[in-house]
Amino acid sequence: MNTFFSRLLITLALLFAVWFGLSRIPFVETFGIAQLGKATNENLGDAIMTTVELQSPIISSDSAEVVMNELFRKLCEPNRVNYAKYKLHICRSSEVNAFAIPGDHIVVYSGLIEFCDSPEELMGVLAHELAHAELGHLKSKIWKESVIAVLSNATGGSVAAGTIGEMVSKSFDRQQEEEADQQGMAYLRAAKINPIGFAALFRKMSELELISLPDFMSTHPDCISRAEAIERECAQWENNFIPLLSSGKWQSLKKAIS
Amino acid sequence: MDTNSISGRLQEEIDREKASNAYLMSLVALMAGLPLPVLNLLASVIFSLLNRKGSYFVRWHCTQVLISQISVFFLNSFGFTWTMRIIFFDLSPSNEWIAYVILVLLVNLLEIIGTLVSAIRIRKGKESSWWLFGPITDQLVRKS
Repeated sequence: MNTFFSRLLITLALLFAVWFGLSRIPFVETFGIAQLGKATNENLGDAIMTTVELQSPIISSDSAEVVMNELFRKLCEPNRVNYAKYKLHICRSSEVNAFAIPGDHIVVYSGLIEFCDSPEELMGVLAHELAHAELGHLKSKIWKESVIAVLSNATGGSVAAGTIGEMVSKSFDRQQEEEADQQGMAYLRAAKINPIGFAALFRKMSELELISLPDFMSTHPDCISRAEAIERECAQWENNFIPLLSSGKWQSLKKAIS
Repeated sequence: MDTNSISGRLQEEIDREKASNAYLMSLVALMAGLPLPVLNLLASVIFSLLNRKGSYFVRWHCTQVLISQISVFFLNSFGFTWTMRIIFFDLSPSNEWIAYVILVLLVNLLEIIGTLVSAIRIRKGKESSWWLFGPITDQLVRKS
């Protein structure tokens, strides 16, 4: 046994020496690979954005862009988030949806803007998507999906493995959605934006939910629960909310995307 | 003709083949298991379990392969996780990471060469005890 441990120590020391020696070589500086992760993320984001654009073309409207950027800045600045790095896109689609994708893209469908009755409703969604991006959920989601895919293939891609993978994936998604809700609320609070609009949006969306999935199988917690959570938290906040947009600007945004 | 001697030699030949296969199988499974280095480990575990009632010679070599696979599994898994975190998370590529990847590649290459050499030597009836894993295998495998 002593022979083994002495040889193990020698081997570990040798491995460490080789690793340490190699790590002194400036590979990163020589080959310029410092941006590997960032470049992968950006390329992936651009590829997804191209696919989104094919189905839902970007609305090119200066007035809409000005208003959306103003709203986004009001959310980011008090939270010390670098809003300039984000690429905010309004895409034409009747779907009531918005989402963040890798590469700092945030997509808002025109259907969502039409569905919102006030800028506060829209801001709740923007805060939620910003939270996904800032918390690194997009990268971890890609990572998780890759691992599930590899494991599923390794186990022969069986139906059971696929189902378990899907359930793990959905549970992971739900956890991220809850985190994004909490972080989004923190953003709204710091920016002094009334979250009641966000709760109202959830209540309206709950009426749209025609098919109700069991909670453990759905990626998002149900709309009513989310609305109630927001209302509960809002009751503890100081009522020092700022007005977001004049009625005229809000209407001009709606007109620009219609 | 000494039938005992013939059957003894036949058994010896079967054992050599089984022990040699333990090494070869880990290599085949390594190719199938990339990039997650888990299939080759799993294959070695199964092969060892199947041969747990085999002769001392076969059990000894199955165990040596298994120990080597476990060691490389930990080394590879750490490298895989580190790489994934760099590609998809907030870690940045560093000289330490590249040095580790090179080290892992070297160790894997050494292990593949060692495995092939052992498989051939055992098939020819020669002994093959690895410098690092031989002593611990001696301790783990009982002669009975």
